[in-house]
Amino acid sequence: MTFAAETVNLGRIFKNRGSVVKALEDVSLQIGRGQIFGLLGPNGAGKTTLVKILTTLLMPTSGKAYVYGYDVVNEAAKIRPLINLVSGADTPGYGLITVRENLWFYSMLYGLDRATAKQRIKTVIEQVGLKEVENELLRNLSTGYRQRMNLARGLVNEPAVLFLDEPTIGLDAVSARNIRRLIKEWVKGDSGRTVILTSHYMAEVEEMCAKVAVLNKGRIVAIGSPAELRSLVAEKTVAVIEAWFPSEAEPILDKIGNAYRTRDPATNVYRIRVVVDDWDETAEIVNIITSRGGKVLSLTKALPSFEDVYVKLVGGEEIVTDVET
Amino acid sequence: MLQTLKHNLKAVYARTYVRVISTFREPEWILTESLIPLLVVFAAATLYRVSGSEQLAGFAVVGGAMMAFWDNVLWLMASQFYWEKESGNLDLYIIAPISKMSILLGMSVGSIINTSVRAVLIVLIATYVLNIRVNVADPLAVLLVFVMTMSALYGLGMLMSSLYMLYGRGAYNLNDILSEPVYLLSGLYFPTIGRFSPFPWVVQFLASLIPLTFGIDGLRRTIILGQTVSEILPHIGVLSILSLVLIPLAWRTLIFMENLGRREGRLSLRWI
Amino acid sequence: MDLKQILRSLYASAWVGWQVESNWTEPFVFIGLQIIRPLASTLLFPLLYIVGMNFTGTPVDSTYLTYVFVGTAFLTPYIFAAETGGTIVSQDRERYGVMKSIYITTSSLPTYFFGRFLAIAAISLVSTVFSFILSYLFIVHILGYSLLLTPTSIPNILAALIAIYVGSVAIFYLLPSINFLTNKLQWSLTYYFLGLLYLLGDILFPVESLSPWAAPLKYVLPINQALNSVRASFGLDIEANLTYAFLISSLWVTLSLAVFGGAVRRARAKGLLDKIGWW
Repeated sequence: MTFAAETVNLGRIFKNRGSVVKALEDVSLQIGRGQIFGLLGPNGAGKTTLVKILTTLLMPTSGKAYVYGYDVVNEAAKIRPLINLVSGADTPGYGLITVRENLWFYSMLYGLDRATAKQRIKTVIEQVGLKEVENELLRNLSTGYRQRMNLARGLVNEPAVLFLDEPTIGLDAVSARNIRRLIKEWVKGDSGRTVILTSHYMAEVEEMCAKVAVLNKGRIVAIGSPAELRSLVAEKTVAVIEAWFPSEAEPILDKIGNAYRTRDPATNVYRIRVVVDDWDETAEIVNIITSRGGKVLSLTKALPSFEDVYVKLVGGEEIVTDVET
Repeated sequence: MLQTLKHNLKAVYARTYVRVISTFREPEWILTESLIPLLVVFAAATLYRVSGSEQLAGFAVVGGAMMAFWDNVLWLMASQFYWEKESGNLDLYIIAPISKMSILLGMSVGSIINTSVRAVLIVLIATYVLNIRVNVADPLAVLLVFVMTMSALYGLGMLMSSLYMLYGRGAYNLNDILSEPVYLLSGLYFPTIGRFSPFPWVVQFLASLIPLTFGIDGLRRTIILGQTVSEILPHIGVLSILSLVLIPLAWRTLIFMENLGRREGRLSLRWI
Repeated sequence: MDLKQILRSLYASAWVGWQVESNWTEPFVFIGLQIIRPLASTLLFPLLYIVGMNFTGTPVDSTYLTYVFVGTAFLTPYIFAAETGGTIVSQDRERYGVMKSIYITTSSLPTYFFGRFLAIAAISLVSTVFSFILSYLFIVHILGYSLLLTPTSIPNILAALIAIYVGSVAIFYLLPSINFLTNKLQWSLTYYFLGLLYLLGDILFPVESLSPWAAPLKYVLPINQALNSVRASFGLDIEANLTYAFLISSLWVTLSLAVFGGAVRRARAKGLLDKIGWW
């Protein structure tokens, strides 16, 4: 059986005024059908570039990519009826027509006949919870409803592969949870459906995905089920340190590897999660903090979480704020 | 093949529907947007009157109506993919299993319908207020020139839309800069081709490459000067040639720009 | 805020204005394009007049041709001010999202807008001069018509030009004032305004040609006396009062600043300073 999506040594570089950026490098992936597959990584990891290539919006500069066995470069026309894309950062659609009319419009782009379109629109409106606003002009909708409408649009052609690029970005906790529930239900309902989801919310990926690829700087750094990935740090210990720094000493934080940190801007207190092989390593970290006038407010031991897998793989380069769950 | 055609026609219809229905959801726009050309028409007509050539005021009226179409081509055709890009719609058009030409065609048909309502309004109000003598001897000639003008003009719109697909702010600014030179060259308020043109023949030739130029001249001849089909055959010929060149060229350009955008990664770049 | 801080803020706003207007293309392309557009609007109506005369077989009246030519050439600063003034709010509030952050700084929106105006004024000055010279050459040397331009006093011409710029400041505050309170007119406001100006501003014909009732507008709008002062300074026999032009333009600026302040206050009260999307 062909894969829902497959890439072979895929690469993409962008050139801009003499500088070359490697957005993807040597990415090889096989995504089976009937699952939610996660692409996890910090900003600039290459997740969206990969999605753009697979959805025929962007061509690779090296390697190959296939969707349902079709080449994204030469057989884009065969891929398009099989896919759809929902990008959380966008709110597509036309403000002066209703939700229902917008969905009808997109169904026509997929060539649905009148009866099928009518039935499909009715179904997605109910699935996504748009019934109460189906006759509202799109411009009058709240962000949450617009995101739902965007998801409904992505489902209207019943794609074999649905690409979700940060689908819950900017949403409140309740709306995000609803969207996640909807996606899970949609995949469960028909075992052949595949969702390829990008996110930098670890909890989201862990909750939803059967398999996850972690990307960093355009490369895949790990791939497996959330449980498999979690086993990467199962033997490790996690130290959670709360520390205050004078602002001039903040660069010292970069010396602490494998760390994931958040900062309370009001108090300048950092909460640092560090994956260590041995608890004794924490003494070295405390030394680093205090050497420049920093103060350790607390030091506690914690069980490794999926977040720590991410930190270990990505290196804690990006400060990620708490995830809504 | 037939299935593909049917599918694309559905897309054309859907895009037309969106454009038309959006306009009629806020009908006051039609009225207010018609006021702008009317103000300039009144100014041009007053200049004709003050200088003793008021019989030409009708020329300005036809020009004012056509100005609505040119503005529409510039702002709601040429730069439309830019707006679509901003909202994320362009990505969805690209990944949809349709020819992108269907989208452009739908936009064009919708635009022609909407703007025709405005144009008729402008002509009716200006004709009444300025007391213009309309002299239509051959309605078929008017219809023929109008249809051919729309086909060539929106062919140009589709071409510009394809060319602008990858550009943001540059396209917007270029539009701004193009609008007035085209007002001047295409003869919105006075003839720019033929015996009474103030321009040297080289400029007249260049002006005649703008579909609006022969279109407006043809409409003036058939609506104000009472000419018939046989007298405006050159106009119909030129507009047909322009349509035959511009529409296929738009198609090719659209495919080229889409592929270029996919290669260079510029399809989704916003306001640059 | 002391004067130094205000000047710094003004300089930064003018610099940003220049960047927003120009950095989308190469500088020479930008300057070239900024001349082509006003050149077209300067030539449009003088040519319309010439064609009208030729069509009816009437000789072209050089005095009237000069009247129209000066009117359209020196309207350019207003066109630039109206075009940017009519879109600056939608650009800054919605496209770039900077309006709110500028508003909460220790500078002020009137200072910021004035800085943006200075950038536009500099560009429009170059455009006005070049389109004036090029249009003159086209009408006189290519088309062979005469324009009766005999400058009687260069300082007077410059003073009248300054009066035009002072008047255009008012427009630069008035149009944004409307756009602060509604986003429905963001694409059309400029053109309504310019359309009205063509009719009432003594640009193509004396406003009293519309109706004797319209004659007082000559002394009400900021542009009429300023334009007629330019014409008089170029030797046209026309009634004009340069001092009055300055007075009425300054009055309009004062009024526009008051309207602008009121509009900003109202926008703040209604939560419109950072409102984006459809409303």
